[in-house]
Amino acid sequence: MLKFLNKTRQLLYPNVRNLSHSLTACQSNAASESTTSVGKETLASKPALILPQNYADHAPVNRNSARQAWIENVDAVAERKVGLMELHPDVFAAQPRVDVIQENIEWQRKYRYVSMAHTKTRAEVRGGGRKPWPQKGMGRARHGSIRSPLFKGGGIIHGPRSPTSHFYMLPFYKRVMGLTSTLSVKLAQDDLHIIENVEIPTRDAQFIRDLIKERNWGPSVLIVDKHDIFPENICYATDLMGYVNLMPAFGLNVYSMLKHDTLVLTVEAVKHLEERLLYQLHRNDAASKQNKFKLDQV
Amino acid sequence: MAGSTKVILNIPRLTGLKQFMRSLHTDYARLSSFRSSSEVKPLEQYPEVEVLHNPPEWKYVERLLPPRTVPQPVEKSEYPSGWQPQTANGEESGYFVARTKNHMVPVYLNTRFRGQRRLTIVRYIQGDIWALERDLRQVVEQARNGKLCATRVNELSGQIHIHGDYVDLLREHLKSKGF
Amino acid sequence: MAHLRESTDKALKLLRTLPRVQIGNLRPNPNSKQNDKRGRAQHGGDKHGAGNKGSGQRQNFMRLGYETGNQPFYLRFPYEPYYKGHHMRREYPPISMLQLQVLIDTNRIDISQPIDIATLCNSGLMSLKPAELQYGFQLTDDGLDNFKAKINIEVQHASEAVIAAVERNGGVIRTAYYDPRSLHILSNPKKWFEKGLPIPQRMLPPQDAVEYYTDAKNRGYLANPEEISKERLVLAQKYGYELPRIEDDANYKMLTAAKDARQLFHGLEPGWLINLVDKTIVKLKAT
Repeated sequence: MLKFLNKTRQLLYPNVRNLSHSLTACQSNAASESTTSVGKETLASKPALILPQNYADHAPVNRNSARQAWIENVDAVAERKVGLMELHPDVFAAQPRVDVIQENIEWQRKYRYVSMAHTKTRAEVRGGGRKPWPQKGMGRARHGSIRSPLFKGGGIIHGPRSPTSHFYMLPFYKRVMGLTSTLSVKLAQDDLHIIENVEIPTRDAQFIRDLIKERNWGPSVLIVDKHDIFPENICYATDLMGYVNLMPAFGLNVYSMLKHDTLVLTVEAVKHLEERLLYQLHRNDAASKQNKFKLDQV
Repeated sequence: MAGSTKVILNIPRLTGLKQFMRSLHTDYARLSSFRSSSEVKPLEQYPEVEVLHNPPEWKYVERLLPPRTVPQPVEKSEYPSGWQPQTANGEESGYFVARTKNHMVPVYLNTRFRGQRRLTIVRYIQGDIWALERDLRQVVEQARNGKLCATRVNELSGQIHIHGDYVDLLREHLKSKGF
Repeated sequence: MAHLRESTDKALKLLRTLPRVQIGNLRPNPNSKQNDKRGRAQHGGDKHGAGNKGSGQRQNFMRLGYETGNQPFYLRFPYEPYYKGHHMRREYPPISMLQLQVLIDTNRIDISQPIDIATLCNSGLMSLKPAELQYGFQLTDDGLDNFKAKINIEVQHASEAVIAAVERNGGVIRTAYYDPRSLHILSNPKKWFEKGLPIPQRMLPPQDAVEYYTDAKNRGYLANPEEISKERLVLAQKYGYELPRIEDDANYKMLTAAKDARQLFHGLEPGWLINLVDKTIVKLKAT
């Protein structure tokens, strides 16, 4: 078991941090490391992209080392490592609070759910205005209405009344923690992939199917870019595939991340997410976000 | 019917009547309504203004804008308030207590049952939480003259709960260890 | 520092050996959910834990203090109306000297500029609710001995000891009145600038506050400056410290910066319009 964990750890932290960040050294190292599928000439034609992050503004609170992830290409089905990206440990190596993820899922289900279950009270059931039989002298129990809740076909007491809103807000920092936890879980389980951009060469859906099969993604994939306007090719290619979805970074949420097996982020989206989440973790007016949620708040 | 009155009111000769009708509607003041504000007058009736780009007074405006994120503390020779920056990184102790985003030591008091139960909560713990729990319990038990102290460790969320109000004691202890 | 990664990394490594976290295999923490259903019949149906008869079962408790016909305790004795008119009184939420020093030590407040309500609210740690009759901050004397900063501060209420503590360090303290509208603006200036309205005038204090704010002993903003400098000397002699000469101070200009009685912000005059987007100020054209 321990041996296995150590092995996975090697996978988790590829030992590239020691590399010098100068371009030539990067190239030679990357070339020497990648022996199997990547040809030397492809790397030589395009210098490897190494994105060390500068965390001057928000030094990691988390004592974890920064995570590193490969940047992959999408211009061909065959996998090629385009570069390496450093990820902020507060966002991508946070404590995996699975309980907070569950609370987020429950909240996302409930806050927009309006129950339409409905029952009629004795006043709303048709009829029942007349006293069914005289109070005395019949030898029967006294009753005033055939729609009393005691009667078959009568009204229902304390039944569900529609519309019943189940709206509530999860505390702000639980929502933030849900996002960081989910991203960390996805990265730890190898379900998070980073691509350089979303420019695929063809609008053929078969290309996406081949890509997913080749890269061992999915089956269901969520592709996230920074902006909500995606290139034409990928829109056409994924339009009719229900299990491949596109989403802008500002719409990323816990439910969608977990609904899809694999999360694919572009480099731009990763940077945007890190920037936004670190801002929320360090914002000056955090106290104002922790107030009770009001429906008419700005 | 409504259409016909509209036609009549649109005849130029009846503009006086139109204004009279409008005055009927705008005469009374309603608080918090657009009707309580005066109508826009011709531009000449307003005083002349000038628009200054990057005026020297802009520095006073910038002073009034809050920082976006919590500023980092600056190095000082002394901190009279008793606050001190974090110096330990957990190398020797094996555990680490991170500061909050406001650079404070995360020791809190939780009162339940109308103040009958007081819990001291230490948060943001990383590393060997069990070693920290042993250390903190020793400090608290020393303060209680050797009486035992109940604690609870939540390793997943990195928290230690200690029975009783020992916030000041534990905060000073953690600060003395550099956290 | 491998051992420090233990807590988080242990969990993340464990997740690598576990099935994929999905919507279908999540569940809440054990015992975290309270069952809000009421048992029927044999499953706790009898009294549902409310006891037998009376207030406990029907939840019709007597009003607070009522003693079933006796003269209640709270009416039994004559009293002094400490809280008379409390719903109309001005409230000044306290800030202690210790809190102020912590704000300065942690770089939340810039002491190279005059401090007022806007500075305190912009730190993100203090807030003011003018709608709840909070009329600004009072500076209280907790942690007064540890106060070491030289500041120019404007608060709404301050005790004599606090005034002495600020002036002993070579600082300047002033008490000033702001009307609720001005307080609303000062409690979040950025939000108010975004409305695009001209800066209003600050109102003068109401009748019952005039005495406080014209008194030099309170360093009121409407007091005679000559008298204030005299009172500074008097206070220094009373508390036994030597009054630092702020005239010789390098920051003399900052330390003596004061708002006009009708002015809301330092350096900005009533009637100006601030445009944060274009970084422009709209002023009346000088005639």
